[in-house]
Amino acid sequence: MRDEDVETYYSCTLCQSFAPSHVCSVSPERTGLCGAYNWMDCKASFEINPTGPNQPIEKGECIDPVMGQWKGVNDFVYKASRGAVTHYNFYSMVTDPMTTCGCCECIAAMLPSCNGVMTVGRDYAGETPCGMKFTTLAGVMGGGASSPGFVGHSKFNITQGKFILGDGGLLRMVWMPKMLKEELKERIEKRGAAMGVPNLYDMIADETVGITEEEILPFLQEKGHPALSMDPLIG
Amino acid sequence: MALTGIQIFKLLPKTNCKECGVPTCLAFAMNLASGKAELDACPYVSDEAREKLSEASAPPIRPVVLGKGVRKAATGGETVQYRHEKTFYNPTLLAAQVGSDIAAADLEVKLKGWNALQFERVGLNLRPELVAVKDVNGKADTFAAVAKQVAETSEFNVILMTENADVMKAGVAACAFKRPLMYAATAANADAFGAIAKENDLPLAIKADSIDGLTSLSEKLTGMGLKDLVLDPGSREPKQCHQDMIALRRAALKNGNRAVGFPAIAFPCEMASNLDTETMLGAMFVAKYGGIVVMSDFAGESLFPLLLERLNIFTDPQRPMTVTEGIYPINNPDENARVLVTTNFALTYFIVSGEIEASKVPTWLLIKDSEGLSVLTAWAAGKFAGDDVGLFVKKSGIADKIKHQELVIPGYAASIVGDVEEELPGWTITVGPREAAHIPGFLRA
Repeated sequence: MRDEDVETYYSCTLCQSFAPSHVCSVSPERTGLCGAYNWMDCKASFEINPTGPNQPIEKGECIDPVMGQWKGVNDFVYKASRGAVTHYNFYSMVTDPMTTCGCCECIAAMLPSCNGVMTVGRDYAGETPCGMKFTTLAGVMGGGASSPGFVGHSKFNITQGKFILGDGGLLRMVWMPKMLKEELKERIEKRGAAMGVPNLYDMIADETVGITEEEILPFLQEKGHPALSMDPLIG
Repeated sequence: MALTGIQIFKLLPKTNCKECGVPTCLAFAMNLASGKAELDACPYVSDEAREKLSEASAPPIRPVVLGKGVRKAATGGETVQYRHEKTFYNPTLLAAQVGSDIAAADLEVKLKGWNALQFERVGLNLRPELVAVKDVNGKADTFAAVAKQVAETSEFNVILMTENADVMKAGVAACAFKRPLMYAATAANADAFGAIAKENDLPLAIKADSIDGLTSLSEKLTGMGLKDLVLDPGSREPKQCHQDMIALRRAALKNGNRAVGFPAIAFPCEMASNLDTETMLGAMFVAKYGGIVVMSDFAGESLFPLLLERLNIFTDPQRPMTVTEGIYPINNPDENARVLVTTNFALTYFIVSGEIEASKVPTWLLIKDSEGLSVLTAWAAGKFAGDDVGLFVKKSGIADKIKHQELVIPGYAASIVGDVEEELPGWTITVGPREAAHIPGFLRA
């Protein structure tokens, strides 16, 4: 199922109890960032409880097909965040990314000197190349803010077709904790192959390679990681 | 609109030199964006960047560090008006006051009494941090002696309260090693007090008769190169003081007014005639923006509610409270007492342990680390599954304390019963009640 196949996405405002301006929008190719709600879950939830936290959002006019922005979503988010958030992109972590409540399964952060991104799951407690641990990241970018350069997402979302596609997609991924990488191995290989880089899995660094950008950059260069030859991540 | 981390990052050197204290320029940029760092911490920032970042170059409310040693603490540093917007960072510091005419022996008794006022809650030690020494007779030597005794014989850090520069000098000389707060510079003595604070690198409180007076005084002192200020708007009527506290916080956060971008100090001890009313006012200032709250005295019944209120308000709502994994004996259990297991979410623990206590049935309560999740959530997230619960029970050492082999699991986790049995051969696994309220009935049955 692809985002293009449906006209209706679903909202999730369960986290507004502690992140009052946060509105999740769940589409077929962007599972809720907590990992607990996919598009079908939200649809079912709405049918069980029509006045509940999962409401249908008519996509409406497409404002930006690459970054993933729709007028209908923006209007809904503006209203549901009570004016705090005017718009966001589904498929970008650099340009106006979706807001993050704080209970995300993973947090992606850009690594400017590697021209790529890293992501870290909540099970990995160590240091990461962006200089912040998972808990620090969750603290600085959680709470319903849209923080360019960072985005919360589910584990599953990493290998979904639209994962930060506006920024180059999964081919931008240069570092993941070993545990997370191994958990997703088959799916990363499959998605990498679909994007034309069948050995992407072996090019992604982890904590055994290094936990700073300086440490992992030579590894990426040696492997010929596709992110290094992509357009600059930030203009 | 405030700059985002990425906008700030673009202007930084991008060298990841780590000299600012964080590992990467990106992390530093995020700290700047959320008002938790100062641009001055970066030694290599260009003048051009400095100019562009002026708005984001310092926290809207400066965190001011008071004291030294184990009770060293920061106040201020807040970035939001309401806790639900994000979180509050630095709990209100609580102080009790002594006069400079107190006899050494009396002071010793007081300090001992105050030091004993410590409470354990959710694995945290709650206690006050400060003693305010107030000059009552203008005698520099007695003031210094009292300050010295507090600083040297107790863990408490010190607020030096006098408006007389000579007395302040003596007090500072006696306890500067503990980084006391100087209270207070006024329009009349600002030059002298500013000089003492600068020379000794101490935080300085300023007192005026209104917020307007505070602004000009603060601008003058920051002009002298002082950075660590604490604000007292001078109001002692509760309603007015409450208004002033809110106005100060709003001006600093919403209007970016740097002149009032400092923590505030409140004096319930000068606003009421008895400790009960004082405590009530103290509670108001813990909630509404008192960075430091000065009471006339600490008593168990006045301090405890304030400490607990402070804990509630300054606890980060974004992270679940937890208790430590382990064995908790309740009602003096012996080797025949039943064994219950649940998760380490603080609320779960308190409700369950409270119900067991109320049942008066001796019980062993096992708390398994579930990363602060409640039973159903932990189960759903795989943090309270059959095999790890079983493994935890084995490792916990509870088997050495009991003669039987029965484990009671929470009713909401009933579905793990088979897996626990598998992990704990020979044990009887009983499914307990779903609701904690039904535990006493269950235990007594």
